[in-house]
Amino acid sequence: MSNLIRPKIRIPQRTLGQPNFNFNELWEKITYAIDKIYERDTHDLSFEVLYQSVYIIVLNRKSKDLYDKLTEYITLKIKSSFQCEEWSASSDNDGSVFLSFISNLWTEQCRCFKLVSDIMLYLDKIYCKPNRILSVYDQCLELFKLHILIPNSDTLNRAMLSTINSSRESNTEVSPLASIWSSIVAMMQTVMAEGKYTYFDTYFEPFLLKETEEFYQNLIDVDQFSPLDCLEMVKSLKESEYKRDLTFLDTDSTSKITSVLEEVLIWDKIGKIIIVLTHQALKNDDIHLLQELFDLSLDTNYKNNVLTSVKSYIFEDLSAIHYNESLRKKSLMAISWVNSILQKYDYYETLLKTIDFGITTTQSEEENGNKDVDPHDLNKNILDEQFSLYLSKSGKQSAESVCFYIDTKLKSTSDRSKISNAKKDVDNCVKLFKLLSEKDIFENVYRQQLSRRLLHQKSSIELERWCVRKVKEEMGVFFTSKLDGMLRDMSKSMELSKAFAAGYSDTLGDINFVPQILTITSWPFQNFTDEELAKNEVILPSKLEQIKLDFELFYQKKYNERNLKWANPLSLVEIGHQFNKTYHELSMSMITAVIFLLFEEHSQLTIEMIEEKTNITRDELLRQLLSMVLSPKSRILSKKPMSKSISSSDIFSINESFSAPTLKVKVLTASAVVPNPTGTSTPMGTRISDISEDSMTSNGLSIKRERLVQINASIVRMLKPERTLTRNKLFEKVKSNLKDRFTLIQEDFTTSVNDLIEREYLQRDIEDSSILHYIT
Amino acid sequence: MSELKFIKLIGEGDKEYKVSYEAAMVSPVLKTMLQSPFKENAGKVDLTKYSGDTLEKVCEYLEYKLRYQNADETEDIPEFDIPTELSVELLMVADYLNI
Repeated sequence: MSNLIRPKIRIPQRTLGQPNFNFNELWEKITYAIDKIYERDTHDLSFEVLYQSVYIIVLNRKSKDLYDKLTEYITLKIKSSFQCEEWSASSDNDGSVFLSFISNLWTEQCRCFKLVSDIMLYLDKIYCKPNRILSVYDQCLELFKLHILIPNSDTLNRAMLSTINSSRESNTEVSPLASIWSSIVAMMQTVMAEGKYTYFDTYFEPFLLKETEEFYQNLIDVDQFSPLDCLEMVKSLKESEYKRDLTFLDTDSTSKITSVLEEVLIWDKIGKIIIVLTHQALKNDDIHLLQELFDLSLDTNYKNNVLTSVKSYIFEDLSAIHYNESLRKKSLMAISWVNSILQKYDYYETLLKTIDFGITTTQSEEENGNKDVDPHDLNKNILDEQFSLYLSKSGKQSAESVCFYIDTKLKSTSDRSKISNAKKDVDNCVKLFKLLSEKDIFENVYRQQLSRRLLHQKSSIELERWCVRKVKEEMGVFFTSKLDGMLRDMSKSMELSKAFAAGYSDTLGDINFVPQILTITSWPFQNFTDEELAKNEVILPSKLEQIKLDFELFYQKKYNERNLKWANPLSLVEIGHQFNKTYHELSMSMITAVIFLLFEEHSQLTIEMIEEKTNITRDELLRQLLSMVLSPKSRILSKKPMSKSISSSDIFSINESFSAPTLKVKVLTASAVVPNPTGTSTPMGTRISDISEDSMTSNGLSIKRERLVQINASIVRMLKPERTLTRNKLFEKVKSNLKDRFTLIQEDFTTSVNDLIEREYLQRDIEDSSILHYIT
Repeated sequence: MSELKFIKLIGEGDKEYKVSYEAAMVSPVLKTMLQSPFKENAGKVDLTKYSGDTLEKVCEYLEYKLRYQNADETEDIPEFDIPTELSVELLMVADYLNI
C-alpha cells in the first residue's frame, strides 16, 4: 500500500484514540457492560461504543492485557453465578434438581458468552486468530469447564446416571427429564476437553457406557428365567433403551450404547443360552423364533454364533440316527440309515429355505460379509457342511451305505415299472455323493456292486447309465471313467451275444448263452493271472464246451488281435430242475454248475470221480460240495452217509427231496475250506451265463494301495514346483489336493513319503529332517 | 428488528446513510451489532468518526457485495470504483467493519 502514496490521499482526521488512550477507562466501560450483560440489561448500551473500545485497545497493542483481564473477569462472573444460584444437595434426591440447575446455568452462561464474544469480535480477529489462541467464546467455555464442570463432574455424572437408571428401572422410554439430559449432553458436547475431543467424549461417554454395562449386567440373571423369557426381556430392554437413548443422545452415542447392550445382553446373557434357544427353535420347528434370534444383533460374531449352534443342532440330530446293527442284512441297515439321513436332509433344507440368514431385516443396514452370497446358497452350505461332517465321521461306513442304498434301489429294476421309483430314490440320494469324504471308497464299492449287478443282470442297463451319469455330474468325469468302461463293455457284449446267437443257434440249442466281454482295466477284479485261470480250468459238460469253442472261434473271427480268456469264477449258471415236489430255477456259480451237471449222466458219484471228470482242484471241490450238501437253504445234493464233514468215501447224489418256498434258488458257495472228500448225483441244464475275466477284490487292501499311488502322485505334483517344503506344509497341500477323493491321514502320508524317499524321488534335508527336497 | 428494511449509518456531522438490511448483514460487525440485544438493534449505527463520503462508499460497497457475492462465474462483475483520495480511510473502515 505504501507505493500508492499520492498527494491527493486524504489523511483520516482522527487517528483513533492514539493521543488520549486510557486502557483502564476503556476496560471499565467493558466490565460495566459485562455486568449489564449478566443482568440482562443491555438496552441502553451501545454496541458500537463497546466495539470501538475494544478496537481502540487492540489498536494500541493492549490485546494481551485485554484478553487476560477478560479471562479473569469472566472467571469471577462464572464463579459467582454458580454460587449465587440456590442449590442445595440435601433437597436433591436423585440429582434431577442439580441437573436442571446446571442446564439452566449453562444456557444463561452461553447467552452471556455470546454477547461478550460479540463485543470482542475485533479482538478475536486481530489477536486470537493470528496467535492461535482460543477465541473469546471458546475461552469462556473453557473457563466454564474449568470452574464448573470439572469440579462437579462427579456429581454431574452421578446425577445423570441415577436419573437415567431410574428411568430404566421404571421402563419409561420418554423420561420427563429427557430435555434436560439432552441439554446437558449438548453442553458436554460443546465443551472441549483435550485435543479434538469434547468433554462428552472424554469424561461422560465412557462413564455412561461402563455404568450402562454394569446396570444391565446386574439386571438379569439368566439362570432365573427360562431361555424364552430371557429372550423376550432382552428384546424389550433393548428396544426401550434404544428409544430412550434417542431422546437425549445423538445417533452415534446411541449406537455405542446399543453395542454395549449387545455385548452385555446378547453376547453375554443370550450367548449363554443361545444354543438352548436355537435348538429349541429347531426342535419346535419355530422358524420365526430362529429368525428372531438371528436378527437380534448385527454383530457378525453373534450371527456366527447362532449359525454355529444351528449347525451343532443339525449335527447332533444327525448323530442321533442310529446305524441299526440289529437288522439282519447289511444292505437293510444301510437303507434305513440312508433313508433317515435323506429324510433329515429334506427336512432341514425346507426349514432353512424359509430363513433369511444373509440379509438382516431389523435395520436397514446390510450385513457386510454376506452381501454377495445368495442366502439360500448360504443355508445350503450350512446344511452341506454339517451333513458332510457327519458323513465323514462315519467315514467308510457312509460311503458303503450310500452304495448299498443305491445298489438295493437299482436291483430289482429289470422290471420296467419300478424304474421310475428307483430313479426318484437315487436322485434323492445323489446329493449325498458329493458330501462323502471317502469318495474313493464310494467309487470302489460302487464299482463292485455295479459289476455284480451287470454280470448278474440284476438291473436295467438304461438305469445304470442314468445313475452313472448322475455320479458324473456330482463328482466329475475322473470318477466315472471306469464305470463308463464297464457299461460300454456291457452293451458291446449284448451286440456280440445277438450276433453269436444268430450264427450258432444249432450249438446253443435250448441253452441261453450270455457272453460278457469285459475289459480288464475297467473292472474291479484283481488281476487274473494265467495260473489263476488255469487253476480254474475245468472240464465242461460237452454242450457247454461246444458253445465255448464256437464262441472263441466267433470272437477270433471278429477281433483276431484280442486275447480272450474265460473267467469261470465270475460265471453264473441257472439250471431249471424238477425235484420231487417242486420245480426250481437254481442259480449257481460256474464251478458249482459243472459239478451239478455231472449228475445228468450219473446218479451217484464219489469225490474222486467228480475230480476226475471235472478237473476241479481238490480244495475247491471240497468247498463246492460242502455248500451244496450242507448249506441249509440250498441243499441240492445229498450224500451218504449223512454227516457234517465230507470224506472221500462219501457218495453224492441229487437231493430230490429238496424244496424251497421260492421258484428261484440261489446256491451260495461257502468260503471256508474244509478237509475230507467224497461224491455222487444228477442235474438238468437250461440256462447259462458266461463271463470272461477277473475276481472280486479284497476291499481294504486295494483301496489302500490305490490311495498310496494317489498320495505319491500328489506329493510329487505338489513338491515339484516348490522344490523344497516342510513336511507339515506338504501334508496340508496334499491333503487339500486330495480332498475330493478322500481324507488324507498322517499315517498314509508318512508311508507314502517313506516310500518316495526309498525310491529316491524325495530326500530329507540333512540338517532339518522336517524339510523335504524334490530330487530332479 | 429483523423486519427493518433499511438501517441507518450515522456519519460525521450526524449525516445519515441508508443501506438495506441485507446489505448491512454483509459486514459481520454490523450483523452482530444489529442482532444483539444492545441499543443498535433499533437500526441506527453510530459511525460518526468516519466521514460522510467514506460511509457513502461503504454503503455502496455493501450493496455491491450483496449483489455480486453469489454471482456465478459467467456473469460480468463490474469493477468497484474506489476514489484514490478515500483509499486510506476506506481501508480503515473496512477493517473496522470487517468487510
